[in-house]
Amino acid sequence: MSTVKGLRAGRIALVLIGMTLTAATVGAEERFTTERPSTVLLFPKVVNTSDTIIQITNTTNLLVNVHCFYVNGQDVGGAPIWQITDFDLVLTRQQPTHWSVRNGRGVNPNDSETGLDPGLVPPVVPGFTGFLACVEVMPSGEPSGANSLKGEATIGEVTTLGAPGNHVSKYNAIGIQACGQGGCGGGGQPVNDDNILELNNVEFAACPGGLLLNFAAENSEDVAIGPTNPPSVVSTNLTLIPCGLDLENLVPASTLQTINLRNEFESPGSVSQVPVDCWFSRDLGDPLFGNEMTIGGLQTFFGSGIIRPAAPGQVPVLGVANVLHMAGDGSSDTAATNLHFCNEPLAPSGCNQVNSEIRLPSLP
Amino acid sequence: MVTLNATWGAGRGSVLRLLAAVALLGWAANAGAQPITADSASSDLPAGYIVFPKIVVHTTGSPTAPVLPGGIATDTLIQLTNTNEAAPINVDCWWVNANSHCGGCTTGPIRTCGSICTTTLDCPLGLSCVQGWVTDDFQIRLTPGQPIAFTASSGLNRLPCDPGAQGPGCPGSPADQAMGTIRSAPEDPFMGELKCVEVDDDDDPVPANHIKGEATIVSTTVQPAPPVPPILPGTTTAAAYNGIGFQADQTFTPTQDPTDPLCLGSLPPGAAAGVACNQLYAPCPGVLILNHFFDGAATEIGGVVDTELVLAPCSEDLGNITRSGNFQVLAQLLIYNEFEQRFSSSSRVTCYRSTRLSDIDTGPGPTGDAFSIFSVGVQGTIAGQTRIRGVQGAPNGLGYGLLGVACENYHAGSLAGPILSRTAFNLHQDGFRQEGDAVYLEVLP
Repeated sequence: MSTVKGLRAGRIALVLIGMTLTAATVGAEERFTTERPSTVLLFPKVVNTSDTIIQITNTTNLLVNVHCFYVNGQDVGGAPIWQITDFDLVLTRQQPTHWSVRNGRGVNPNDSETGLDPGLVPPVVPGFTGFLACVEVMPSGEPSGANSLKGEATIGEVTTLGAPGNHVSKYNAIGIQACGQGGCGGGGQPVNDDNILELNNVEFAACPGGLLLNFAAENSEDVAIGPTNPPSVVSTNLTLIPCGLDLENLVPASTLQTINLRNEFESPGSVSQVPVDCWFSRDLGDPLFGNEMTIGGLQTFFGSGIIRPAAPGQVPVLGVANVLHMAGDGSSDTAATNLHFCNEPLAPSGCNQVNSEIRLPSLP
Repeated sequence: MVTLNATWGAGRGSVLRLLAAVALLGWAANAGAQPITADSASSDLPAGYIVFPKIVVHTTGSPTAPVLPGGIATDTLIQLTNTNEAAPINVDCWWVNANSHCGGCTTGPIRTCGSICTTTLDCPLGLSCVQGWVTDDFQIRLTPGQPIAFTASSGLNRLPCDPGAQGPGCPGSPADQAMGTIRSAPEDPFMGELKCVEVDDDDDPVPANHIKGEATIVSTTVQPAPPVPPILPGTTTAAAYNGIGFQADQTFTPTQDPTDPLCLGSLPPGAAAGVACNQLYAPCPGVLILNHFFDGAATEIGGVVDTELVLAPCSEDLGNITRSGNFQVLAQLLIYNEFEQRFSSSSRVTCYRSTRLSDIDTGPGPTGDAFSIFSVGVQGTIAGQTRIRGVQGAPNGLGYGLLGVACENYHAGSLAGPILSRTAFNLHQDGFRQEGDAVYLEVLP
């Protein structure tokens, strides 16, 4: 080994030792997150009924490669069609990029999309309703564990003053962090080069045990609008996807969930056996929820819920809530929030982390 | 967690050198620290200390400047939940009033302020618009798993499950019932923060993480009362974000000395002798990361967009107006466009800063916005990334970490046009502040 190589190896060893000790003392928690750079990004709600703008940024000083998958969960004949379209991106250091899912983004320095085109991003089909998954990979295609990516999705459409559909809402992508050596509470290992991303607190963070939802009772008065512009109404759309994907065998992920509810008087309620089949998007007034979350069923203006797997063996879900606020004069807007993760294992919360996997298509 | 991207453009060799140094320094500084469950503030987990950095109120009920029919009224809905399904929790909250007043406010037992203003142009000749910083607190008890919500303009006189409140009542003994009054925001118009801490019966912070919350800022056209016909077209906008939580270290033993601060990460350097951490929480983010559209961009979803950024210091002295009101943190900003071109700017955060991006480097108001480095015309691309960190300015015993949220406004036609839609989102973050931040609570009589 040359002196230079020896010095470099020693330096890297020093770095690794330092990082390991640091992680151990401050308890670094690589996890599912909506606010920290990650290796996998999931955008649970991507639609081409109105448009969706995707923003992705490389937060590091190194060039990164990204492999993305659109998953169309459009309902055809009562079942999601589960069509997958994949594409690749290359982001230079610290580069932000964006595209409209309706239009995609070409690789053309002379088009109206200025900036370094990150790669050919195909448009989605009209009526697309589904999600987007992006994975940071090595130039050769194997998964990377560098936790470099962050992203946001902006859904909606703005036209003219007085038009009924001026709605824009924005949420952060759900990130899955690679554990790295000693991460994820201490048991983490570097990402291996197979096509299975194991969500197990060893290779990647394990799935959260549940989701926490704060909501306004469906079809209740919007108390923030109140007498200013009556009568007002509020309606929440809940979008969920299973925590785990098989993109290699095109097997639609499917899971059953239970939602345990509380109203403002601490009265409990529940909705059981909620099927999340590939992609789930329903208003809280949907018959599936059995009137439990409407103003008539909940009997208070606000409620909270914990969304958990209905039984052992079922994977948890990930999701966002998008709330419609409509005033008496017919004007309205939407506001999206990321749902909080529930990782409290003790009863009665009982949110136990669950191992799962994301299976990427095999490399040729 | 020490991350590679904390190096701000260093070459690969220097990245390794810096990593080694930072990692070893981090290890050395943390050798005696207690473990914590999250490695910095988080807006997606329940926590023991939670901050809503952007609360806005301007309603028809304002005693000084009521919004009239045809105008736009704004209120903020706050949702709070006790995620402890087994036991009630006590919560102490503080409104942080960052309103500016013409000529400022007097100090002393009787506090008087000039009229609320946004810029000096709003004030009579000879008076300048001075930013203030005042706190107002309240205490509540939430029953197991209880969700509540209230508007900042109204507060909540009695909580559901309070024995004196209307309704079916709640299970449990009297000690398990909800109690307390949520004060409304101290002024209308109002701009500022809400901060809440999980405490015990003696108001001492507890090592527990059971608060979660969201804030929704709703604006709507004020319609006249019937039989006057409605004013059309009206507009309604809504923007929501999650409260930013700091998870308490559940292994930490509180000092239960009310003069000791809440430590975010650790006690900042320069604290007075004898001061210790009353309770230890996750540290402040090292870097805030904002993905945004450049101001004036016409995106594919329509309208013309600009972005408001709210920044507030992580450290505060809630019982000492003078100390916090004069507290200034210098925020350094690195801006990247889609060509990977980098620009930088800096901005002073004097206890609270809410600004359009274009105003950061050109001053308040639309004048000069076209020349801002946050303008789409200057940057030449639609999207950008801005990395923000506090770099200096903290007095002894306080740190200089920053928190923030962003709000996008979609205008009709141009930035001068009416706002048709609005959206808010939490900023991303990278790393954490090793030096620590401190929140001194008000010592209640």
